[in-house]
Amino acid sequence: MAERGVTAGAVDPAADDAVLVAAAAAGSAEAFDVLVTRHRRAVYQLCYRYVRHHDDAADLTQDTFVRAWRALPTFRREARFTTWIYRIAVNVSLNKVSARGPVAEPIDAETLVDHTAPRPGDALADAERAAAVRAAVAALPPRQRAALILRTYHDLSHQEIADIVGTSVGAVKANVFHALANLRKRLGARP
Amino acid sequence: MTPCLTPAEFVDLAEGVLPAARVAHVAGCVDCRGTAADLAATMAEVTAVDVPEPAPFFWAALNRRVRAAIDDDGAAPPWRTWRRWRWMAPLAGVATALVVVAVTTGPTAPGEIAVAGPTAVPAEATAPVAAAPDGVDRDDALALVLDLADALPEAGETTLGLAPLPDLGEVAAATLAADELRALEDLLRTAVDRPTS
Repeated sequence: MAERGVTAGAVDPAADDAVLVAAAAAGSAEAFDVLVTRHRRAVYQLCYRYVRHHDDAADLTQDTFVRAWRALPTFRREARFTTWIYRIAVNVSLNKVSARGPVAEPIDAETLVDHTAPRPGDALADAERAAAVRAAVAALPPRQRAALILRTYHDLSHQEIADIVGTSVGAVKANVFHALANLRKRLGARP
Repeated sequence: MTPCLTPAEFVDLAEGVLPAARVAHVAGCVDCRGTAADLAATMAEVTAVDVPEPAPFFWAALNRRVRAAIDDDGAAPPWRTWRRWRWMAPLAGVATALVVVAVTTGPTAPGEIAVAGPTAVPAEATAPVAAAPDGVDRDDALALVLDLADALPEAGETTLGLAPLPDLGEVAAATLAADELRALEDLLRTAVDRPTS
């Protein structure tokens, strides 16, 4: 990485991922910075859904992009950068979760409660329900969790998810179905 | 009667891509209708749950952290470590300014010590102090810091052409933990006790 250097040069922030990936693989940290800016929110949210803790999600997001930078020379360009970066994020998140075990999501009223809501009681109930949903998602078996998160929140195709998880399209759909069935059992119908 | 939907077909149904012939089965099957309704309701609820949005400064800071890590070949500390020490930056700035003021315009006699800034601390600033969860005697540390800050002369702000400092009491009460207050206390003691020439 360091030997690839950090080259200066004009980078078009509107360039598509493939162009930026090529430039970054050639050593342009500026091009990679544009990729980070473009995908950081999605990667952070993906990591957060695994660890449910801001600091951990921030660490994992940083780790994901650093690993991506290191691995850029080996990135096969026929795949989408999004798919590839999500695969890295899922792997680092799974490593973190398996090493640490499940944790409770901190209830941070300042973060979770919408203070503009006209009925604070409803907002708090919504926040608690949302935290319960995130906890239930995080407790799913790894393949169900990955399939559900990537399909529901990141709008990846079943084929892309299959590539990331290393399974078939049919298995991805079955995982989504069983994930939702498990959540239904765990959460019950919304009150 | 055609066979009931498979799990994969239920997902296709929820996503609107199930072939019409199979959709027709659902219309005539109570079990499949119930499963499909449960699935749709759960999917709708799960989809609506967002991730809490980080503070606005976080995104730019994340870029800087990634850039520093790749510049240093991954040697940069992780986010949590950086966050733990970030309070030192503004604190060091304030402390440095206070030391400069104290050295330049230190008191000539105890009775001539000027009172710097407002002495009253807003109730909302002091309230969290009493409820500090770490069990450390943060109240005493904060009170001492406020006293020491008050003992510093304020003339230096104008004579040195410095911009007015932020209200130290408010900053300390709102942002610093007990150990951070103790560090600030030490710095302020040094500034106040330093002999003038």
